[in-house]
Amino acid sequence: MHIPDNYLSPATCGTLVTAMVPVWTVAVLKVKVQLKTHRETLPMLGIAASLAFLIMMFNLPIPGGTTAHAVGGTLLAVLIGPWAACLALTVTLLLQALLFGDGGILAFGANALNMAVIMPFVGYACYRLGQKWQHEKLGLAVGAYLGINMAALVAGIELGLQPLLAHTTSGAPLYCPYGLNITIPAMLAAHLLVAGWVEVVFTLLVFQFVKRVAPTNLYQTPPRRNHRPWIALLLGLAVLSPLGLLASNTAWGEWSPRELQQRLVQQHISTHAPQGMVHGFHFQALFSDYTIAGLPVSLGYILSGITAILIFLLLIRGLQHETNPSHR
Amino acid sequence: MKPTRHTADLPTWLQTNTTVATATTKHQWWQRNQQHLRQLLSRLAQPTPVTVTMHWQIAPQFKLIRLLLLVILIAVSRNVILLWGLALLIGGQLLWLPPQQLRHFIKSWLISVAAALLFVLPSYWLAGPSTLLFFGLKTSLMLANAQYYRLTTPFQALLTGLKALHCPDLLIMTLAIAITYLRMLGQHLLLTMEALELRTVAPAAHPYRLIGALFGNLYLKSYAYALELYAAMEARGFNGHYARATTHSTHWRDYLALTPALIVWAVFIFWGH
Repeated sequence: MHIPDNYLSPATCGTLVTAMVPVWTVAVLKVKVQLKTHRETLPMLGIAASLAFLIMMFNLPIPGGTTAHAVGGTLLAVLIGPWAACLALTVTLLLQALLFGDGGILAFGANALNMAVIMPFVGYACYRLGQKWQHEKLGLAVGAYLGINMAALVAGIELGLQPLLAHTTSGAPLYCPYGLNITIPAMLAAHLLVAGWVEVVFTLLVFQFVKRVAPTNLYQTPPRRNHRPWIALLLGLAVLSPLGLLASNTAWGEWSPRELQQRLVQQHISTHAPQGMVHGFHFQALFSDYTIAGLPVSLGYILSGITAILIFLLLIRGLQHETNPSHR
Repeated sequence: MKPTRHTADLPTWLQTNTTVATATTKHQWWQRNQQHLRQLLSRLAQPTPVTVTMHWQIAPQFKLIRLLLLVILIAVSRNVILLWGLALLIGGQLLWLPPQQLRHFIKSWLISVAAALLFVLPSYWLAGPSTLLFFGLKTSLMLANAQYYRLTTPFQALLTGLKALHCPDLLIMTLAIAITYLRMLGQHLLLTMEALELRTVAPAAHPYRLIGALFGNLYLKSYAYALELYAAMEARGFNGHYARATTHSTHWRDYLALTPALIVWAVFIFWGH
């Protein structure tokens, strides 16, 4: 899954590195918080990076006489926490790119996004869900499988977009020559059929061993903190939601068939809107365009925002498990 | 076996050769992993000596910047003549390497280029030979630059360079610890594998049964190492900052070392299109 240099355009590489900078910043901040209670996390980061390197080196036999290796993203997230795993895997990828030539230097951002962010976080989220629903191992297995396949899918998309993003005037691709119709099946087939199962087996076996021998060495999710700042932020955003009304035009691609027809006429493209849009399915929502009859539009926006927040909070609250019976 | 003077007194059952049926196919992957680990350990134990052939040492951060400038330029450029110029530049740099280093460079470079081309080879039927050749040229140039950097830069210089470029201390420390403990953990893993191999008389029901114990133990060992290392760091007065990498003061020669890359960039900007 390590994308080498020259398979992604410099623009893609630059964008992905830029996208990774806030993730790394948050990871460093989160790990610093973790360090206050677990000081051994600091050297553990480096040692976990070495562990990830060895996991990626170790080949496992698979049916058919060949071998495949695990990545260990989900496993590390469960063992040392997702943010620490993100940093440890980033360092592993940096080492592999700079010292061993595995994965590109320019493509470092892309590889970090796929293997140091998507894989551990998807895996850890599934594990936590499994833990909440009292099916820890099932959650971990699903997480390991989904994590690696999601990372492979994103890698396939990154590679497959290149012929569309960077090509010569004659249409010849400048970087990865395969389109999405080739890269996505190629990446997913290998991971869905082989690598995903190797990851599941590897993750489960090591997790079971550590849980049996030293359960205290598993990462303990920190206790839930005060959610008030988040609620305040969400309410603040809801109050600010009518700001978009300052723009008079409709957003690109959100036109009604009539508006679209007017634009097509103005641009001398056509005199009527596409038939599929005119006679297509039209759902009339209860509060169409966030407007509530009898109220100013801006107030309708704010009320819609608050309603949505309330619905989502109720939904999350309903799905939560009661952890402490004494609080009932 | 032909009986010798000493073996003639031995009982017959000891003199006859018995071949023990070994499940070679079943344990091939085990042996292969051991071999990979040994290769890694020998590489880490005796890293390729870094060549210092220049009259002055370029500051590590300038080396990193030069590598990035060249790799980005190769990725961006579509001009074959400019790429040719870049090939001449790296070729000129390679001339300063000692013959043994040069042979090592060529070997590893050819292997990495072959691996990269293998992936893109089917595009010959999709996009024609020009895409394949152009892609091959650019990829091989990028790999050559990265390989040259690896051959001429010790790991400590990489850390110093990152520190000089204001990379967060946490990341530099993690990187430093990772490279140090990679060897220790690798050694531990290899020894455990060898011990398991020697102690396991009967064939295991399934090789996957060993994996959990192998890597689970390795994780617990890592945890123990982390605790010991933190205690040692605290004993030495660790204050949360990475201070080992001493930053070199920049010299006009460092800027001079960047000029070839900057000249090619200028050529690309003004005449590249």
